[in-house]
Amino acid sequence: MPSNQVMASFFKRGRILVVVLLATAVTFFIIWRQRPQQRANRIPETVSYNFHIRPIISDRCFKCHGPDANQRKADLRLDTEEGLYKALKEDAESHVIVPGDAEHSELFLRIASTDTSMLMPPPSSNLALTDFEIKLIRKWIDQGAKYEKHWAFNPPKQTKVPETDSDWPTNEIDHFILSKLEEEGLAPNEQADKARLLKRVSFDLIGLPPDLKTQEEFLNSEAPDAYEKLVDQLLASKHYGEKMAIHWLDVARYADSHGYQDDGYRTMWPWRDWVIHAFNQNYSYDKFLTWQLAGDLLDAPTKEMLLATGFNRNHKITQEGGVIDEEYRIEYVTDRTNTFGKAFLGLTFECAKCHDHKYDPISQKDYFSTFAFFNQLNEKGLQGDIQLASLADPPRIWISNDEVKNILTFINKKDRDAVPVMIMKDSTVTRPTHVLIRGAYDAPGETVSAKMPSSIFPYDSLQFGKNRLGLAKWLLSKEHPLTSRVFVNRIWQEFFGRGIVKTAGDFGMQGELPTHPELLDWLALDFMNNGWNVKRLVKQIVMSSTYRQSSEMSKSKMAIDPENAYLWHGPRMRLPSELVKDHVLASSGLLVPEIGGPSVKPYQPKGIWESSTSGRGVLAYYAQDHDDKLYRRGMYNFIKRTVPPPVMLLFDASNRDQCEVKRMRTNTPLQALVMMNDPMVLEASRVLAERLSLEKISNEEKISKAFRLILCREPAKNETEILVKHFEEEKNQFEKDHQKAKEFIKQGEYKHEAVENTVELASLMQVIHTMYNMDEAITK
Amino acid sequence: MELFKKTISYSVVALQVLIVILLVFENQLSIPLWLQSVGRVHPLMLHLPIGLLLITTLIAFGQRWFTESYKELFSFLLYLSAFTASVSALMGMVLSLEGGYNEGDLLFHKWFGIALSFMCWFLISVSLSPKIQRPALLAATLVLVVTGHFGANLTHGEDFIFGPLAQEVKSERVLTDSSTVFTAAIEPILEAKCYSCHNEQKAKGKLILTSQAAIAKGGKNGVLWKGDESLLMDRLNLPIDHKKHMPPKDKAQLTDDELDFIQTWILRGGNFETKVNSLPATDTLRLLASKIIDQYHNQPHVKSIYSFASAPADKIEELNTPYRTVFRIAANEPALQVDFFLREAFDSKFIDELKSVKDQVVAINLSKMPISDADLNKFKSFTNLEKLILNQTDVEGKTLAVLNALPNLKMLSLSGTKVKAGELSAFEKNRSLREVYLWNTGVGKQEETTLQQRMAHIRWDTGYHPDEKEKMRLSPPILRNDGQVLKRGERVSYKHNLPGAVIRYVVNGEMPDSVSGDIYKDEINIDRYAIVKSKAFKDGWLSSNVSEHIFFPEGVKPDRATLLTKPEDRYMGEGASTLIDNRKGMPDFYRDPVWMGFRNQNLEALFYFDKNIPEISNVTLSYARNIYAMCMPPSEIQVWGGDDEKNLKLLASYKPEQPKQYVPTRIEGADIAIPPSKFKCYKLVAKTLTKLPEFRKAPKEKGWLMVDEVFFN
Amino acid sequence: MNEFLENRLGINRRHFLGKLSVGLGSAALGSLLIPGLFNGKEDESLALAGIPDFAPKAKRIIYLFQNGAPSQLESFDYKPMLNKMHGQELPASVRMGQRLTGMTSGQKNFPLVGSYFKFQQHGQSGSWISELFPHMAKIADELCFIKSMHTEAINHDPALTFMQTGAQQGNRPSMGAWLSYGLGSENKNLPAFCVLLSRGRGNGQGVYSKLWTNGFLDSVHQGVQFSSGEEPVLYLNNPTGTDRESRRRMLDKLSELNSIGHETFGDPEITARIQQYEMAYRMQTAVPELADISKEPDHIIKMYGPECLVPGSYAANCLLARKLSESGVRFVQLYHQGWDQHGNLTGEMPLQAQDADRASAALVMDLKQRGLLDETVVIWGGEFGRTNYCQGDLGDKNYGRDHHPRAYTIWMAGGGVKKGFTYGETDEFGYNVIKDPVHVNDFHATILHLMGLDHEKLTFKHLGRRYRLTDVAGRVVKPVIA
Repeated sequence: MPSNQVMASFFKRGRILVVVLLATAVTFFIIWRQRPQQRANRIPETVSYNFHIRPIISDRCFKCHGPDANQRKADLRLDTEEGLYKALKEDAESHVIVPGDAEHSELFLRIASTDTSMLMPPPSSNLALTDFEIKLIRKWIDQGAKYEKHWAFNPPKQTKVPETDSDWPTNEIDHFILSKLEEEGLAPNEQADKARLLKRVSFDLIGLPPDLKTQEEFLNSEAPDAYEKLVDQLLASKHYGEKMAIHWLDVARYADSHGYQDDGYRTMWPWRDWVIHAFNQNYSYDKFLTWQLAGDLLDAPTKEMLLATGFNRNHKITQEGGVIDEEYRIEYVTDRTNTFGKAFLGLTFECAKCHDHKYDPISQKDYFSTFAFFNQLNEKGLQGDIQLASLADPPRIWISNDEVKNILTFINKKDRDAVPVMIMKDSTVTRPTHVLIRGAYDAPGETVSAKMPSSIFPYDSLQFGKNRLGLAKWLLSKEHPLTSRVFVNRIWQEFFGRGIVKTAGDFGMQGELPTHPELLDWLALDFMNNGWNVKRLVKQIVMSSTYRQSSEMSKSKMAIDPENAYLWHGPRMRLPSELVKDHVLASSGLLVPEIGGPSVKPYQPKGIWESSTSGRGVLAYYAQDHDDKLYRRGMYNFIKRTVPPPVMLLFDASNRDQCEVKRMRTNTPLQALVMMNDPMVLEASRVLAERLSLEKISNEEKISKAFRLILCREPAKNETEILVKHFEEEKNQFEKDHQKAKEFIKQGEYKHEAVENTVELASLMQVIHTMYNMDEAITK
Repeated sequence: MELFKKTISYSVVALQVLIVILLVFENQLSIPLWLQSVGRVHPLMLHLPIGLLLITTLIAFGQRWFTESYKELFSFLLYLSAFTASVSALMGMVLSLEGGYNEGDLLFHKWFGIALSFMCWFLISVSLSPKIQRPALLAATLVLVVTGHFGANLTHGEDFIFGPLAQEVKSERVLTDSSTVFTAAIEPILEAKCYSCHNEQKAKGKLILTSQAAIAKGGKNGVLWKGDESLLMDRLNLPIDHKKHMPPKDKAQLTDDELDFIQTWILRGGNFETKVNSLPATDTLRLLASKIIDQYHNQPHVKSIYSFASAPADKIEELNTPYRTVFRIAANEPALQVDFFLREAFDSKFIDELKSVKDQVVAINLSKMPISDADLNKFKSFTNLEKLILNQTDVEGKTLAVLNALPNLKMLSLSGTKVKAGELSAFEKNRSLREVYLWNTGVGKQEETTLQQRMAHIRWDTGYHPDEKEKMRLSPPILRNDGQVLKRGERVSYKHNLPGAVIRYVVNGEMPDSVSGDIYKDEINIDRYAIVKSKAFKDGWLSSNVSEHIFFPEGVKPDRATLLTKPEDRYMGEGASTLIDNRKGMPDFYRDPVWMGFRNQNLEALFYFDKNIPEISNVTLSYARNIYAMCMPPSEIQVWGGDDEKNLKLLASYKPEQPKQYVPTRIEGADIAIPPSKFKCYKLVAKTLTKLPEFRKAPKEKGWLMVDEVFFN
Repeated sequence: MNEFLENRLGINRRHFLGKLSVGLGSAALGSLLIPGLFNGKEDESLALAGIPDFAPKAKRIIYLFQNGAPSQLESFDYKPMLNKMHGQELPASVRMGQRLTGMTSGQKNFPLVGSYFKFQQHGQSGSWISELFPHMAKIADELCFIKSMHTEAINHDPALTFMQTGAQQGNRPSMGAWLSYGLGSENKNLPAFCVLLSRGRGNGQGVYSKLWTNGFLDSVHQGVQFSSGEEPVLYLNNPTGTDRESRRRMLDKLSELNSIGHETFGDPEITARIQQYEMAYRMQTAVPELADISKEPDHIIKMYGPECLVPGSYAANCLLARKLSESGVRFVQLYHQGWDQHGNLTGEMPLQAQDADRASAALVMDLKQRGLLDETVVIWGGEFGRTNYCQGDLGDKNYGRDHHPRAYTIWMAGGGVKKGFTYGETDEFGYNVIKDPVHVNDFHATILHLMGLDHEKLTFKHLGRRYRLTDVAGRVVKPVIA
């Protein structure tokens, strides 16, 4: 009977149908599971105020319903606990938030409203909330709308190191990292291969590539503690201080000129030498901080302590004739205040100068109370215009050669006459500080006294006193929530390219939340409890397995965490501007490793200073240096603020205009042009080529040796092939035109070695130059 | 029937499986957008099982009233309900994954829903005696009700499926002929700048502005206007810093137009009924109103200019290469502009590739591209093209007629092409073109006028025509070397940027003129201190001013130098090495440590060649001549030589010529020839000028000697 | 994250990453525009070639900044009253105790000075222009004068910085950087924001890279300094002994090697790097062609004046500016120094005018004759005005004027700006604005509007705060828009 057959066959098909459905279903889900961008948009089981809600309302609401009393609308304040739960002004019946009941919480009704006249934030503000954010808030309210104090204003908590049975971790850091990785369904990378690890740690600790000797030793040593030995070696190197200083010079906006219009020369470099010294001597952070903030206020301050206070005089100073003195004096104090806020507290203090802070609990009054600490100098807004300008406006100290010989031995001073350096020195009479209305220098309001906002950490004037020394003590109080966290986070950033708090300069409400809050607290406390020992902290970091991971990026992991926020791979980034130069000079053997001293003027394209100058002052034109001064480390390049070294700008270095705690990292064609055409790079290629040419080894050996110097590892087979082929091709070309070869090897002022075979020399030089242009060459 | 049952039961199984999987993986899952909408059908779907199941249950209990057909019908309905139930359950699951629902309700709704679908499956997969079947059915119905209840809690009947669409439609203002001034212009202003504080929910100063009645009523300070008295205007007109000023300082302020307008409206009695169109076109109120209407209704980003459909974004992106930029002229416009770059890289297929967006392209810029007459055909199909720029292309104009095919072409630029007036008659019939640019083409000033007469509807622009009579002075020759110091083997090189300009020059001599001096051909070889004067010439131009350059061949650098006399305090340079560091200063800025200044003492310095000793025949002292600053040439220079500083003999001495009147400030050299010699040690003595020349009128003053470098050749 | 673009393009960085990883094709689109896209920077920007908020009136800007502040009273703001009252004291009723710079605050008296130079009306529009600017006078009917500009700063540095970055202090992105960020580059082989510097013969005041800084924006938005000299862009020229071919060979080897690196690390940054090198290579072709004026016809040289043959002169820069703009550079910023006439005004200003007048006018005409004027805005003006009273001694033939932030004149021409139009007015003493004041923020808002951008939407979030070029103020001056 046909129907039977039909049915029979259908049975089969039916089964198949089911199977097919099953299969498809399963595959679907597998696909979906790998769509992390959607994962991010899943509502968490429990919604936290600090981690989910505050970021939203801070960003979209605080502007009008935040700390700023003058801007506050409808007397409604959402940054405080009482503010969140209180009844509305217009009608006492309805409350901002009714815990557990979104439907009766005005806040929810307003953000969810479809009536544009009711909708919050007002459409005109361009701050509309997304669906997801609204849902989040709803769920938070329904779950009881629990308020939490901003994490960064609570002192670091003793957190216990997460357990794990994995043998991956080396030290505590790894425990924290690993547990987070597992949460995120990620696994750490393998350890990086020795050569690359060596390069990484060497650049991170001394800012220089490992020389061939170090490479061989490390690669050949089987000793289990080989790596630790290496680290200790590097930490002991006199170049460690230089590397660490680079970041601090950004923070301190160090430069060799006064900034502003005429932009005359200033001599702050002895202070820079001190910073290097301080890191090399491993001054504890509390000492480092106290001396710079208040060295002059310690009893019987030594000359070194005074020198350290130069930190607060690195700001720009005008030399424009006819400026209004007070306007600029205020500007300087402002700069100090803002720098203090960002450098030590990681807060955007500057936002509170003209009005109460829109997001953080810093009132305008708080701002000027802080301002008062830095407002006590006997200084002038305009000491003298460019014609009479001094190299260092008072208050200042003079550093003589004897002092350099005897006490300040770390200063690299050659010429005869004493060099002036600006320092901090409070006048005997306290200058009254006023709140400046709208921040205008000529609109003084109520007078305030030196004090810090208790919302951050209470300031006990009796205990601390009302001067910068007190300020330092306040910062260093055991319970202080920020000092240690902020510093630890920035050191972390130096090694991983990104802080545990990504916004290293903003720990406030608008800042990003820490990716590893527990780790941050643990590190902060550990740092304090171990005498603010910087080298120790640094060693902890570089010893960790986290740091030692290879930097290979698998597509699947990248899909989950493209920014490597959870550190599933080791850091891989382009070297900072200064180190690019250092690497090129060191690997080619040109580097003059001398430390400190007046800044130098290496090669620079024609006319950059000349075309922008007012024509006045000693820096009106660029008198390029010669000989040794051409080959000093990048950090010694002369920084004229109004026209910083172009290469520095192109490679994202700070322009030293203001305190900067984090550099950008970009990748632009102009950088490519520099690597291709900067005489410094070409000269280095030439010199290295010459040196190799004089060795009695085969061309291939020369190439591989250059490779090891520049890439700090053995070339792979296919790499060698490409490079050798490159060499041959160039050789053929230069054979055709010897003149070209001669022209090509002209680069740079460094004395030429006598090499007969110019063609081979030129070809080798080209190959080396190509190596310098490889992405990996200038990547740590 | 059997077939139907089988299909149903199998698919129900499948569905159940899916539901299970969803349950298990819930937490790792996220829903791709396309599926979300499937989920959003849940609220529709769910009504089917509800209906069906209820009927089924009814039938089950009303069996006796049914005939034979009962069984068939019953199971048919049962199967159907089972199917629909599981489908909507599945959809529900999907929907729930979007999150954002009240967890409590969701939880119940979910589980009951699932339970229901399973029960239905149970009901169809196992054959039961009516005794068990009925209660089971009843139970199912109960579960259904509960599920439904929680479902209702979850959604307040909000429009899920069309939600997203609905939002976009909202907040668009429609204007009709009968719109009143109030609705068309006043309301928008109030909405933008007042509603936020004066609405039903939040009535600052007890004032509500969201309805006409409320406006008429006014706030706690009384009515907003009465005759010429207007509280409203007072507040609006208060100085911004006044605390009673409206809107408050930090809020968006009213523009002057808005102020004028509201004022006039109120002075006209603030009538809510006046229609815009009822007012004469020239009426002040209407004019003011139209400004506001324009501002709020015809905002460019509210209403777009072009009506045609826009091209898909990815298509546009595909077309973007380094040599061709294709971009929308605005976020809200479909229209595209296309630019081409890099003549070297151009390929005419770059144009063909634009076919895919030909309807959107409104502007094309092909400046400098190797486009020829033949290529113009390619644009025929770009019917929306308004602007075509062909500057400096190879177009000669033979095929311009094809452009008449473009109904919207308004602007055409042919500057810098070989187009001649004749070809332009191609546009005689063209009615769309408004402007044609013809600078630097075969079309001259006269032709422009004739064209203008013949085709008046087009603006013909042949641009700038130089005044033949005007003669201008050429710019002087440009020196290509940088600095005064010539490196070993470096030759002096000049250029002039004007093609055809001739450079004449003289080394150490008098100014060249159009006949004297050598004509510059290739780089000049300078082996000793020299002053080169040069001048540029070209027919039709006045000859340039003289440019004068001084050169110091770097020569051989001594290994070291020492000073025997002390420079003046403020001008110490960096010690003796300053004289041989090859760094030269500015002629008038001596604080720079490249300079050394002598006044009360003469300059006396020793120079040593320790390693290989070169043959020297020239010594050149480089100094600043700046009469205003009393920096004068040395009165006398001596060069001594010997094996060491102990035994030196005078090789040569020389008295530089002193200026006789004020002369321009510059760095110049005193060049002393000495008998060719190979000494280890040289001594240079340069005596300062003890008495300034008469014309300087400073009888008591001594001259300064500012030196920056000494060269040995 | 660049929300501003996110909003309008409805993309976010992750999506974009996804798209890019598709292949180099789309990465190529990045190059100049999307640097460092792959590293988790605090505030990435994803500029895509021009997508304004609404149909723009103009696509490009050329800003002829007259650095040092040219006197409005000797150029465009004609005040016969000052000549009538020449030498008499400035009425206190007019000055109303406004602050003075340190240079005149010591001054006993403030004698009014009338312009030493004759004024005349020009064109249909009958705009008043002094005899110092005969060529601008010829194009009077193309120009739109704003005579009611006012600023807050009274000294050059802050005033310049304010004019360029919207803030007197601090390291804020300059106008050009904002536009580069907002609209991206039209020509992917050139930067979106170029800067040209020149010095006149008058008292100079210097410029500084802070004026064309990217501030907290991505450094790709930094103004790139161009010169009409031998090396138009820093590090552009190949070293001696190399040529295009050898460079091509190098780049090919380089990308082979880098690709190996990419296989090992899978770091998208490496693919980006390869792209950057290709872009650099293309720049090397695109730029020299721009800087080379030898191919310009003789009468262009006559139009701009022979000075344009001298690299680094204002005229040369005007010519170069036109070529850059013509090649799709969004924002060309010129700075011309030397307008700071505290003394010897009658001596210096004619020289300054001579250098600036002809070339500025030529630029406008040149754009026009290429059909480009209606999509390019040209702006001419300084950082503030100059006092109506004399600084120092009032000689019979000479005098000086101090800084005056309360009123000054600039002109605009081209893209979407009213032709032959004058907006705003100062009192008969040229001291205070009495009609339609235009604050620097308003000026910025207007410029952005001309480029199709809403100054309130063009924001960038940095360290917790959303920044705007117009900070918290600014409104579009609609009346000057055609």
